[in-house]
Amino acid sequence: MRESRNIIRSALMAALFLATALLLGPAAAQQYAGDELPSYSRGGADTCLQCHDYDDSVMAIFQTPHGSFKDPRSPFANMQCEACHGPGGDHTGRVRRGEEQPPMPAFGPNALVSAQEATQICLSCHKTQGGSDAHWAGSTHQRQDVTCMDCHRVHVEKDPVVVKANQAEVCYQCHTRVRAQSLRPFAHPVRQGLVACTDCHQPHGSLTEAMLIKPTLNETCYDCHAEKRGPFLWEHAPSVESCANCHEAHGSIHPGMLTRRAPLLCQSCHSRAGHPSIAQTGDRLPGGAPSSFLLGQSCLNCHSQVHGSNHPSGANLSR
Amino acid sequence: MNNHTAHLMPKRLSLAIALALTASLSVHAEQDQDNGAASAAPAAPFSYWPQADTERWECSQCPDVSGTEGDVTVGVGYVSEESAFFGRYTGLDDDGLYFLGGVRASYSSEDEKYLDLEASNLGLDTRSLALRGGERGRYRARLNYDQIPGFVAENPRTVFRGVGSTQLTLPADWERANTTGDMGRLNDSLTDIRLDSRRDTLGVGVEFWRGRAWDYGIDYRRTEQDGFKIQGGSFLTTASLLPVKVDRVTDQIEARIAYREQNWHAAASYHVSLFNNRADSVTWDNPFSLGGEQGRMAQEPDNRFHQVTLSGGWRPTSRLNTSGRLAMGRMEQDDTFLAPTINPNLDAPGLPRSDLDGRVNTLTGNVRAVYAAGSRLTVTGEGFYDDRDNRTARDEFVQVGTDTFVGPARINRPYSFERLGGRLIADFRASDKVRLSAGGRAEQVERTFQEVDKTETTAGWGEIRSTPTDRVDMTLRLTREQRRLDDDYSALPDVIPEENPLLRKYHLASRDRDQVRADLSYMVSDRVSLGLSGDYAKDDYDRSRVGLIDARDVAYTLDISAAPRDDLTVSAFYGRERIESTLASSAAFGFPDWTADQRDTIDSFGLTLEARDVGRDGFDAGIDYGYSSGKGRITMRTGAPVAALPDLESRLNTVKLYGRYRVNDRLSVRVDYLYERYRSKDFTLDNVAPDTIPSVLTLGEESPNYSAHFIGTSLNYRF
Repeated sequence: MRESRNIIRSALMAALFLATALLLGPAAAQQYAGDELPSYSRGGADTCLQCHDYDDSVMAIFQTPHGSFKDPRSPFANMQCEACHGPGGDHTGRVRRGEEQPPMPAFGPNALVSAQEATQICLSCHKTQGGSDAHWAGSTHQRQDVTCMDCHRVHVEKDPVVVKANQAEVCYQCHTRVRAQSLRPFAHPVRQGLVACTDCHQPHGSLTEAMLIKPTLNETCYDCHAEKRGPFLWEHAPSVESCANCHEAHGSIHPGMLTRRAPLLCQSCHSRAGHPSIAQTGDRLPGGAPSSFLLGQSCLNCHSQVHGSNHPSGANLSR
Repeated sequence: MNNHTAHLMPKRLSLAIALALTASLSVHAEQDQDNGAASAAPAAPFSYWPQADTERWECSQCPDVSGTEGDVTVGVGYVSEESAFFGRYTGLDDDGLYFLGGVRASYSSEDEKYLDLEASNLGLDTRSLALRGGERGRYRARLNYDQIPGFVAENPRTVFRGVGSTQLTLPADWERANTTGDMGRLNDSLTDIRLDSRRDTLGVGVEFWRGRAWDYGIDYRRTEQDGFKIQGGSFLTTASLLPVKVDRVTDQIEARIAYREQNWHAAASYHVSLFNNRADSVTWDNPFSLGGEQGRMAQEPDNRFHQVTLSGGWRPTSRLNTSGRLAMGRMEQDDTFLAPTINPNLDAPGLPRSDLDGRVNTLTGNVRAVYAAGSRLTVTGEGFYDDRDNRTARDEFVQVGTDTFVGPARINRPYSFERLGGRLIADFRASDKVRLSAGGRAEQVERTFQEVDKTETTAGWGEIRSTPTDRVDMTLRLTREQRRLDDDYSALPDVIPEENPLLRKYHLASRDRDQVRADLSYMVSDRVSLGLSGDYAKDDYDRSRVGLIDARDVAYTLDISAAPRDDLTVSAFYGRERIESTLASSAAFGFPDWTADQRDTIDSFGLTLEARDVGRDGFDAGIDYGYSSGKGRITMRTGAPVAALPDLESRLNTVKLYGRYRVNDRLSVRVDYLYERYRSKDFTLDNVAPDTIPSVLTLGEESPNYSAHFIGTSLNYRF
């Protein structure tokens, strides 16, 4: 294992130098490459607001960072409405009576640019989300044609998907199975609005499985459950390798969000001679021969350090 | 490569990465400065569209949003029933009155400095506060605080005194006995206890931007966990469930820097997590005759984690998009060991060292390339590497069994593993209405000190997505995965007594997995949409004789969303999931002589309705109903007649109603009503009094059951 590890490290180092060299090399533009565009409007936002100033759903943009005139990254610090919607010369031009106004190139009814392509408009500014680990291209959401506007609302004072208490409702529109899981008795407090989907997932794309926010599943869990990280003197191997070996993070009918009930969960991996191998049946309930291996906390009545123990005499995870 | 150079490798790697990143960012920083010097105007933001001539775009009609606004909410609520389980995540654990309060305020200056305050649930244990401020385009800072109440047990009782400390004692007149039934002072000594649990999080952060390209930020977060947990403490063949004090603090800092150009971006971050357990052990008196008089159990030791992450993306051509991430971390733990025993009648063995000096290096690398091979075909390739390199030393530790007897020595097993693999995905747009996708994944995992040194997993999948009309979207995906062992499954030699040689642990065993996923969405009209999705997964561990043999999971959901009018939205869903597994084991330490089938069936239903201006202008109302019914059935087969285990049952009905009436532009009145009914049956808790199990002194807790009403009314004033 050590040899292959060193090979991997060498490969990573080589890849890093290559990536650095590539970064310093030429790059292609991420810009509109379609048919000829109309001209821009004559007066920018002033032209647009001649008609749209009555509309609260338009004017709310000025309450948001997108409406900033001072932030050089903001649309309104430069091309204003047309920074996102595209050149509006046709849309703002004169039309004959009864004739429909031509659409804006992007973000609106009958837009020339598809919703998928319109995502590139957002990405032209939002390459990184506050320096976080966003890797949109090739992510599951990108491949499934999820667009920015499927989740985000720009012309509102507060985009619901960035409000912790509301966020899950947006995600549940597609993730209906997770919505059902959230109602189970043992689940993270997502339906109560105290934990957000983005506390664990990076919907803008991550290089980790299930678009998790950290490089691995366990590191994502340790972000809130740091006490489980260790290292411990006596480690429990499946716990170290993946929390998902025993837990279902979206909700379970078993305490501790376990995938199955103890003792069966434990007996899936422990079949030593003696008590771990005994079938715990209904005969071992109160009224029969109540069993310490079945009732209370089952195996954890004694082996209660299932995430690891740091006690010198804790090899069997009971100290 | 010898061991010496191998140890140097991470340092070399870190240095190389640091140099590479520094060089990369320096060059571009200079370019950025050059650009700035060439033009007095601020650099334009990156734009998808061609640059417009905006010289005469004054935005004179754009509104001035400077000023102060906000609202204050004050009210009172009443809860009808006391329940710890209802209080979990709601803060409504006691019956009686609660203060309802919240504040929202925003200030914005003409030069775009701003300050926002948001506080909610001020009278509850779910209170939260957020303060955000800054100057657009330059910096922003935040401070936030929130609380999450948890759940430990419903109506527990204990004979232990000193609950809330790390020293649990028995009453002075306690009479030790071999079984709980013979504990003469048990019933008289039981006292009701309240076991709370709460997580408080305080966060501060600041973020700066420099021009269009740079941003920097640093965040600090402190999480405090206070309260209790229930933990079993044992002596030989007896045990007591203990109300163990929890007092933990985790400090985390993350500093980051990011740079973006039109077609590439790079980011670097440093993360540190410092975990401090202020209740690092628990000591308790043994209520049983068997074993030592006192026991001590370690709690989670303090630990530290440092991680440097480099990531970036680059789009060299319009057809190729690449991104990658490299994360190097180190986990450390050097809490001083407890003594092997606190039993004064035993000769405590010596320790090979005073603390673990545990160290685990982690290295995770990911790369991804997405190539548009044509207008129809896109190919995505990924590689990943994840290494947990446990450098903790191995030593012999003489075991003092449950503070009662000196046993043989055991050597610790500092687990390492290394995961390496890749994925390849092809997406082909066969037509405007059909997309075909196929992919494959290969992964190998190497482990130390486990029954299997190396496993190899391969998977292949195919997917068809069709949009036969603008209103219908269908997806069908089939996946087949195989995990195989590279070598034999070998029981660990130092496990005594040994494991059944026929056992195959499910996370290490050979496995065939089949998955099917189907989705259908249908836009019935512009105002109504339907969705149907189904998942099927089957795991076969056909080379396992003892252990998990197979597992199945079938789930489907049906959902509907409708907006019959502009002021009315309705959504509803129904879901059913069945999770099944079969376990085989052997009481005779040989071939399987009993099996257990576990089948969980969960039905869920939800309905949400929101209406504005109901009946008359200014009255809004909403309903949110949720239902979940879970049934867990365990069927034991031993070859002889056995009594069946009762089903595990849980059933939640929760309905939230609200009505809000706007008296005028500034004042509104709101009424909230919440009814939650929960019923559960759990044979591990039901009818298990502290003296029910002869060898385990439990807390006699009950499975949660409650019917709680909450009604609240509040006034909201806008300023």
